[in-house]
Amino acid sequence: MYMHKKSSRNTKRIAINIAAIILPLMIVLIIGAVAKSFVISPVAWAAAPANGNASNSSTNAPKTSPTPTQTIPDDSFASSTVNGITIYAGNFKVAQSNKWPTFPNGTFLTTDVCFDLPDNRDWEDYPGPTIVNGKQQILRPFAMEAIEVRWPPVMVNGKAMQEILDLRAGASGTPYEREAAPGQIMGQRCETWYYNLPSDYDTSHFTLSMASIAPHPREGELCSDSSQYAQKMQEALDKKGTGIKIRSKCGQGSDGFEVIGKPNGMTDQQAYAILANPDFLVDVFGIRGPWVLEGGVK
Amino acid sequence: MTIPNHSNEVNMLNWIRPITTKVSYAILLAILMFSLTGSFPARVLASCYGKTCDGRDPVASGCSGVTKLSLDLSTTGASYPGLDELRYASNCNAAWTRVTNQGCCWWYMGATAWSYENYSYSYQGGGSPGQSGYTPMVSHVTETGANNPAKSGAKVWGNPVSVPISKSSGLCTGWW
Repeated sequence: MYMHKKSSRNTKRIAINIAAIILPLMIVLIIGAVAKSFVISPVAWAAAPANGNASNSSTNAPKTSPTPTQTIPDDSFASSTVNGITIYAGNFKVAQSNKWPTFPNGTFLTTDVCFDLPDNRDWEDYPGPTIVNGKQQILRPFAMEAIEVRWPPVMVNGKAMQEILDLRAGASGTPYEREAAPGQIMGQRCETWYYNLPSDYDTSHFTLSMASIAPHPREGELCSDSSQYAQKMQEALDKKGTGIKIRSKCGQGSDGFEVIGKPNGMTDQQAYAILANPDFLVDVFGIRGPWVLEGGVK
Repeated sequence: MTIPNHSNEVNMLNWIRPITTKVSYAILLAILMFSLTGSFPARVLASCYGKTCDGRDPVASGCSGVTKLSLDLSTTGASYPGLDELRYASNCNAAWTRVTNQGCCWWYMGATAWSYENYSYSYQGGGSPGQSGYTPMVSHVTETGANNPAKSGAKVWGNPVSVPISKSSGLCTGWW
C-alpha cells in the first residue's frame, strides 16, 4: 500500500518535472517563432514601396535564381586551398570590347574567380589576382565585376539556408534563398577580373596568384563601436611599436582614420604610409594565401 | 503553546525550488536555441527601398553594400591612385559610388553615381590616404519597376574635383 502510494507520488513528480521543462520551452519557442515570422524575416522587404520592384520583394524573395546561367565554379575551374580558404579560377577569355571607357576598343584577358566567404563581412581580394606568363610578364587587373555573392548559411526554421545575391547583367538585384549543402559553413563570392592585354602577351600558359583576402569596412563601419575596426587597428599599431595614435573620422559622406599622435621625427606621410598600407589591413583582419593556380587561353 | 506544523509548507517548498530552477534552465535553453538560428545577414533594417532611396545617405538609411564594379583609377591616366567602386545594397535595391584615396598624401576626391534615367548624385571632398567618400544613392529600379542601371565615376586629384564626373569619361565604370 505504502509502496504503491510512493510510486504514484514519484510518477506525479516526474510528470510535473517534465512539464516544468517542456512547457516553458514550448511557450518561448512558439512566441519566438511567431515573432520571427512577423518581425525579423520581412524586415528587409517591409520597406519596399508599393510601386517599383515591390511585386517580388514585398513578402518573400523568389526561391529560384532569376537568371539561370552557368553555375560557377564548375569542374573546369582550377582550385587551391590555403589556410582553410579555397579559391577557384577559370573561364579564361581574351576578347575585344568597349565595356570599360578607360580602354576604348580594348583587348582584355578576363578570368572568373570565386573565393570562400568566412562570414558576412564585406570580404574582398583587392588588389586582385596577378597573372604571370612564361616570359615573366606581369599583368595586374584594372577592374573587377562581381558575379554572385553566396552568403554563409544561417539556420532558418531548422534548415541551413543560404542567401544568394545574383549580380549578373540584367539580374534584378533581389536576393533569393536556397538550402545549403550538408556540412557547409562558408559562403562564396564570385567575380570577373579584367586585365588590359598588351598585343605581344602570350596567354597560352600563365600562373594566377592571389595574395590575401580581407574584410573591408562598409560605409560607416569604421565609426561603429560594434565593428571594433578602430580599436583593433590601434591595438595592432601599438603591438608593432609604431607610436602612432589614430581615431576614426566619419560623417558627411566620408570614412577614414586620422593620425592624432606620432613619434617625433615621423612625418604625416610616413604615419599614413603605415596606416593605409593594404598589408596592414590584411595583418589585422585578413587571411593570407598565397593561392596559386595555373591557367591559359589559346 | 503549540508548535506550528510546517511540514506541508516545507514539502511545498522542496517541490517548488527544483521546478523554478528547471523552468529557468528551460527558458535559458530556448533563448540559446534562438541565438543559434538567425535571419539572413544582408536583410538588415533599412528605411528606404528602390525609388524611396534616391538621394539618400546609404549609412543613415541602413543600406548594407557590396562592390558590384570597381575600377583602379591609377590605370585611367586622369587620376591619382584611387579606387572607384559602384556599391549595391540588396536590402535597399539602390546603388552609390565610393571613392578611396590610395595614394601617399591628402588629396581632393570626387565621385558621382549616375542613374540610367539621366540624373546623378555626387560627393566632393578630400582625405588622407585610405580615406573614402561616398555619394547619395540612386535607385536600381524605375517608377514602373524595371531595372534602372547605375554607373560610377570617381577621381582623386591635387585640386578640387569638379562634379558631376561626366558619365562618358574614362573615370567611369560600365553600367549595371
